[in-house]
Amino acid sequence: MTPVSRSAGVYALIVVLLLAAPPVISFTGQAFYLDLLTRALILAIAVASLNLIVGCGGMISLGHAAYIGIGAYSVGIPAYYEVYNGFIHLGLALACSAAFALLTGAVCLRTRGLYFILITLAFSQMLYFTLVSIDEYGADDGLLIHRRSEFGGALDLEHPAALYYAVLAALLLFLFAMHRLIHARFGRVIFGSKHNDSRMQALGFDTYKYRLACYVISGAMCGVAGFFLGNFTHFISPEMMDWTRSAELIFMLVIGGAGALFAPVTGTAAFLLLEEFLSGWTLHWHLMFGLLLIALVMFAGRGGLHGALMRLDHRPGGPGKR
Amino acid sequence: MILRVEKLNKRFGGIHAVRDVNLAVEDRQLHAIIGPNGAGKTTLVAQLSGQVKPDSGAIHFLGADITRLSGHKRARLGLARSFQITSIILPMTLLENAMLAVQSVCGHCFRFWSPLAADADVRELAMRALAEVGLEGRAGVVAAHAAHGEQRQLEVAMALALKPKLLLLDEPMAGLGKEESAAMIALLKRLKGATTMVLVEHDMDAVFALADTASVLVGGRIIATGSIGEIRANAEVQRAYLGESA
Repeated sequence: MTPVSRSAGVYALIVVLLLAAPPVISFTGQAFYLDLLTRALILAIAVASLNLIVGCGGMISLGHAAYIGIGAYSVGIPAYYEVYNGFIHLGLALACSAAFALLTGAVCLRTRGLYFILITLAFSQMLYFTLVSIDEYGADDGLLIHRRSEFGGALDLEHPAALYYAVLAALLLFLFAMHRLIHARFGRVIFGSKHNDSRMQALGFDTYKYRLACYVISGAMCGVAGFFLGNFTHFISPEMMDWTRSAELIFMLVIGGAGALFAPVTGTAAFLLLEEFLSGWTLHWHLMFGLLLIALVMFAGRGGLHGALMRLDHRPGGPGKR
Repeated sequence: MILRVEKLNKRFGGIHAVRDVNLAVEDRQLHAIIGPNGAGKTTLVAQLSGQVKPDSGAIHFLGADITRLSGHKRARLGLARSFQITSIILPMTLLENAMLAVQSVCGHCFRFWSPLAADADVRELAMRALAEVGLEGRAGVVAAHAAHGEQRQLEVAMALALKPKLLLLDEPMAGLGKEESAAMIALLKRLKGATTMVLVEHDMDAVFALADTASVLVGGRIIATGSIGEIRANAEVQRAYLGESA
């Protein structure tokens, strides 16, 4: 057994379990768990998009929930005008989040480190307050979405299992695409720029352009998560893009192990499951939750859950850990 | 003439770091820039490579005015550099580092799908660049785990992989032990004649062993310029620099 295969085996098992979940859950009659899983997978898409800029590119954004909001409003606002065409919703989600990423990224990426974090935060808060102030779309109360996006006869998102599989398919597609991208020329430039930008420039790379492209890809991907979240909750509100939501995404990524391809899945699942069970157990769960998160980050170390899995493979800090 | 610098000036607040500097580097020559600490060498290098924009003056490279051009565009024109403080991608292997340099010259880096590692052409060119500096046997080593001397050689390999018209070497001997220094001098000797080089260096033995011509920078000013023999004999240079360090 090669060292990589043990952690790869764990991840493969997770995928199999995810694929098998809906029939198993419907058999046991615990529909609630399918909801929880769907939510986790939607957030995993968002965290995966964050992983692309944070884990691969070293661009720590504290405004990524803005793209969830953009994606969700791309469903909610057309639905408000009784436009339920899913292709329009999804197209809007992709186009608007990519456009927002391009405009804000063009400014943010002039800076680095703390300044970058703060500017991404500022832009997302601007969007948040803009939507809070638009009474037509419900202001802070948000809007109800009466029907989910319609994709013709082939895919009926009103069916919980159909929505679940659509989300899972999107997540796996994104993860595969990211895996390709990271190892392609583009990804190598992004990775190089994360670790040594001045060297990359001295090699003749206009790293700003590459980083901006990466930022736009990440934003568009996160917009898709928003598209699913709006559909899933039947509801949109500015609260979806509150900065604490962005912070939660970072937390999920850190728990999973920033930079590792599969970290968004394990990190999000761990975060939501902890939240769910602790809140069912005690009223003072926030305190417990905080302490557990601290413990998890400290004991799992820098690599999060992925790091712990890699240690299972007896190769700490090996080349597979990115 | 490959590089021509005219009346270059740079001030940082009250410090006049580079004053009216003129330089001329001929094709296939190795021109050394020497001077004591604080002479303005670092600022001059930063201006030549594009990290710092001069207050006044002009830099001409291959006949084009590059004074206001950004660093990555200068690199594209063929001005490659190594850094005084080793500057490589530490988590990547030596080969991966070299491949980055190669893919920069091949262009088309907005490729999102096919893995770079499977690109035989890029790999081949990167191996050749490593072989030029004698690192071919260490290709698979992660850069962070390589010896300091190897890291410095890798920097030169990456610069060479760019097929530069001019190689700007910023203190390549910095931090090297005696043997490593000797290996680096031998390497630069091999490259001499094929590649035009500007060598900014503290190590006088290296400069006298390698340079065809040299300029002496003191207090931001070039106080002497000429063939390496003339520089060695120049009384002012002796007083300002060589005397104090010898």
